[in-house]
Amino acid sequence: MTNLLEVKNISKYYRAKNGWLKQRRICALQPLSFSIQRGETIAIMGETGSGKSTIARLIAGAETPSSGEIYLNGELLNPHDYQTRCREIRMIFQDSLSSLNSQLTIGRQLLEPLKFNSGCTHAEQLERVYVILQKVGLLPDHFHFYPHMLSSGQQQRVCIARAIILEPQIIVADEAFASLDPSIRAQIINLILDLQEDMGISFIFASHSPEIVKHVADKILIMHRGKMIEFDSTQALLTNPKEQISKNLLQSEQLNKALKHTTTQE
Amino acid sequence: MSTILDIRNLTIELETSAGTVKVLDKVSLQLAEGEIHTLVGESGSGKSLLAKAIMGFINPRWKITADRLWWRHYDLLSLNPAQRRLVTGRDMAMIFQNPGSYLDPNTKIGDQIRETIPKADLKGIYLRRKASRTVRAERLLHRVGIKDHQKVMESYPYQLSEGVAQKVSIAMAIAHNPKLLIADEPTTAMEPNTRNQIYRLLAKLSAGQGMSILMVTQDLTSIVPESQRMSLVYCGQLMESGATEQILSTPMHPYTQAMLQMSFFDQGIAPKTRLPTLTGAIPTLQHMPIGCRLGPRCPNARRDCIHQPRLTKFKQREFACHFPIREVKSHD
Repeated sequence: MTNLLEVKNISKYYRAKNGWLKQRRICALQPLSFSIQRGETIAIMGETGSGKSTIARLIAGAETPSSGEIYLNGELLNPHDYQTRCREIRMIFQDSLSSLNSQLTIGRQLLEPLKFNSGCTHAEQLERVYVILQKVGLLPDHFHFYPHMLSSGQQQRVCIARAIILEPQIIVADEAFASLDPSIRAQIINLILDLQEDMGISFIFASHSPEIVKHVADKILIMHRGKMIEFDSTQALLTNPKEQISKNLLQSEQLNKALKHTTTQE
Repeated sequence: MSTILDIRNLTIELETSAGTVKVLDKVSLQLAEGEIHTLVGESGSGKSLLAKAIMGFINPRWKITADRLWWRHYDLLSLNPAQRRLVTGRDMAMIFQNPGSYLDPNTKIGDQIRETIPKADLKGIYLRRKASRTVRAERLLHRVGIKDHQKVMESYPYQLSEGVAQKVSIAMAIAHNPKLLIADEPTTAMEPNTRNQIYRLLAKLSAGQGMSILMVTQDLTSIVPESQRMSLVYCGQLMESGATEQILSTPMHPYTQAMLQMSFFDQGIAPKTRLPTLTGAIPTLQHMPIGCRLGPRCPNARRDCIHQPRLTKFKQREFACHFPIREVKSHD
């Protein structure tokens, strides 16, 4: 069985001016490789500046890698092949309001990817938008709403709708849960788990909340200063992390404290 | 320990196009000296508003009523603005979310800190005063755990990382040794390492100097481990209040339990299973339900919930629910 997505020796350097003529290379991501199966969830964890957003952006095609290749279903994915990319790999951002166009209604925003990427007639497209709206737990009436009229949870649902409307194989989320309220966040996580089961989507997300990662991810990729430190299944990483950095990232004091109380209680 | 902040039935009403809305509805809160009190609430719960009401950042359009709003022996509501400013300026300080964005972008950090040092603490004539200001500023930075004071004082806010910026803002807040520090979501969107540093710093300040801290947070996963007491508010109503350990281990209110289940995912919940959540969304200001505002989303809601429940006191904790999860034994 071929891997759904295979990342080979991908790296990213930025150039920064150093004096008038000199240039300095800043390494955001050192060469790393990993692969993802169909329907799998991978969490990328790391501190700020560790390159976790860079990986997400490289996979989604928001940036071109300095070296290395990405293979989708065994075929090389050209960095400038936006047509395939936007059909198969879609991205969800942290700030849902600013990632939506404030001047278009929800319906028009969801129609847009369909217009450019599917050969459907307008009627079929409309049909599809209504189906997707219901799928993410919104009402058909929301078609005519503008983003600012929705709550933050609903906005995030619209972003998810926009991501799944082309039936992609991979969804990349960069801190998609961080700014949501706890009750809404749990709803969104449930929604993503449901969608994954329904449509067999692979899910790559960057997060720094150990609780969410433990709950959702199959595999965890730990980043530190642009280097991949560990990549293993969640279970293995939780039971015996090889590096101190991963241990620190995966444990949460508050959680342990609460757990301690409940165990002493029982 | 003596209670220094005593709030009973604080109500804040706002005039909106849909009539008067109670943004805070009879919230009570007591804070003892040297205590860390965590105030947990989702967005729209009025938690920041409560913090602002204590500090006196009040919009004249708000109508604030309270049975008691006492700070030590001052009744804050009966003071005139000048007196109130004097009291809050001397005794209280506040730090905010996104520290980098509210430091002055045009001024060096050193100058900003020097400015906050109270005049009364400085002695001598002009040059002497100026020098002692700098020394005080350096000492403040050391106190909040910044070792490289020279570099930080010479930089502008945009050059600092989030954690350092928050430390600088804490340094500015504690410059005049306040008795109460209100931290309004100081660590949201910070990475765990920095967050824990800030928590340790706050805990140290509270333990070392008897400073009371009111921590306002959004989420149960970001409670300072040293916090002694906590309160949960939902849509302007107090849900539960009591000792942190008790609330985390034996919640009485369905809301507390739901929040616990939603925040501490792996407590008995297998990975990949659906999380228990509250149905629906947080109501907007114009559409607050009557009675207990959790009503429409509460798993235990029954007919009586259209009346607002009174605060039940039991074993030094309080909760407002007609149908608590655990039975209250009356002889306690």
